[in-house]
Amino acid sequence: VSSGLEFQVAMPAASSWGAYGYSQIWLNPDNEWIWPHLHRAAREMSRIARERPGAEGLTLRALNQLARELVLASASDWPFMISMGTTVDYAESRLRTHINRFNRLLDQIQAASIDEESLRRIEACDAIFPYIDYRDTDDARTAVEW
Amino acid sequence: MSPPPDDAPLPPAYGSDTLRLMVRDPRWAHAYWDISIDRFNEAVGRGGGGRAFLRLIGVPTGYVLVEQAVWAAHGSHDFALPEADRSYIVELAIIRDYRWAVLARSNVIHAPPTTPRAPTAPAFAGGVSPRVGASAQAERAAVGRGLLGAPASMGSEVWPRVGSELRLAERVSEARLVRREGVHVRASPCADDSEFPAPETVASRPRTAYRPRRT
Repeated sequence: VSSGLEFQVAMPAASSWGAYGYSQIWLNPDNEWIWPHLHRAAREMSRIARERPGAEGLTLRALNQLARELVLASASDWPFMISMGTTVDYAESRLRTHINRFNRLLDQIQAASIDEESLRRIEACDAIFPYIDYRDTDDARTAVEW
Repeated sequence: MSPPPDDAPLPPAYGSDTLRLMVRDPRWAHAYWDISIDRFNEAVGRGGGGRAFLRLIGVPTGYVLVEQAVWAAHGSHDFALPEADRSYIVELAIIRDYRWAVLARSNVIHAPPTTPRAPTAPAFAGGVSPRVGASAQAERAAVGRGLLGAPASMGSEVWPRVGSELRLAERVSEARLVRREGVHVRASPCADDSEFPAPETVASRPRTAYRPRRT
């Protein structure tokens, strides 16, 4: 690139491996209700991560769990399963669970009244990504939105 | 009082003053809005003097392409897009006392094209235009030694203008791999490597010109 020679520029079109080749599988009347919740969660995650870059102790644990819940809620499996009609109840339950846990944790962090027992339970239930760092989500808004 | 279960119903809205537009496919987009009830009511007028509309607007022309009346502070609507491979934005606007006021404006989306776009830039093929990587160097060396002629479909400095995008796609497919005199060349950076054997396995095969199967 530094040679100064001219290279062809390609502009890939938005597409997917899903049915019909675009986004219908993940955005249709059956599952479109999830997106306002996911987008709002991603915005809130970015905001609070930027506002509190130096959290410690219980707040640090809560913020990291907040990031886990966002990642789990954002899994493309849920809208996919809803579209396919295979395990709709399970997918919808998982979505509601992770969004609700996110919302409650967010409220507790903002009110500086983190319920440690509740946090411990959620940490045990959603124990994935042990090394997640909430500071890495300060741009989560752009990762979830398109 | 015990807390609600984790999978309790989610709130219907957050009052987050959001309007988002999302691409579904080249012909459809999905918009949702979530305006605080106070702000929405204030804009419309407590007595209902104003009316709210979602307006699909072309970018960058600014033309209002669709107007859809809405009645609530939050909701969603699917827009049929008039044209693929174009950019759009949505506004939530209030008309009141014969004046428009924009309450919220969405992100800009770009609907994907339905067919490959016509080329607008110099091609990556041929002995003049440079290409990136070892395979390109190998091909340039091969051309220099007379071992490899530039294929007809990739020989010009500028990608040949073709009459139809379909023909262009066929040419790209043809140009994916050319092998002559044991020189393995990946002729296009868009080639799917999994479709072709690795160079070392190619070298051990009979010296015949390889043409990928056309689908």
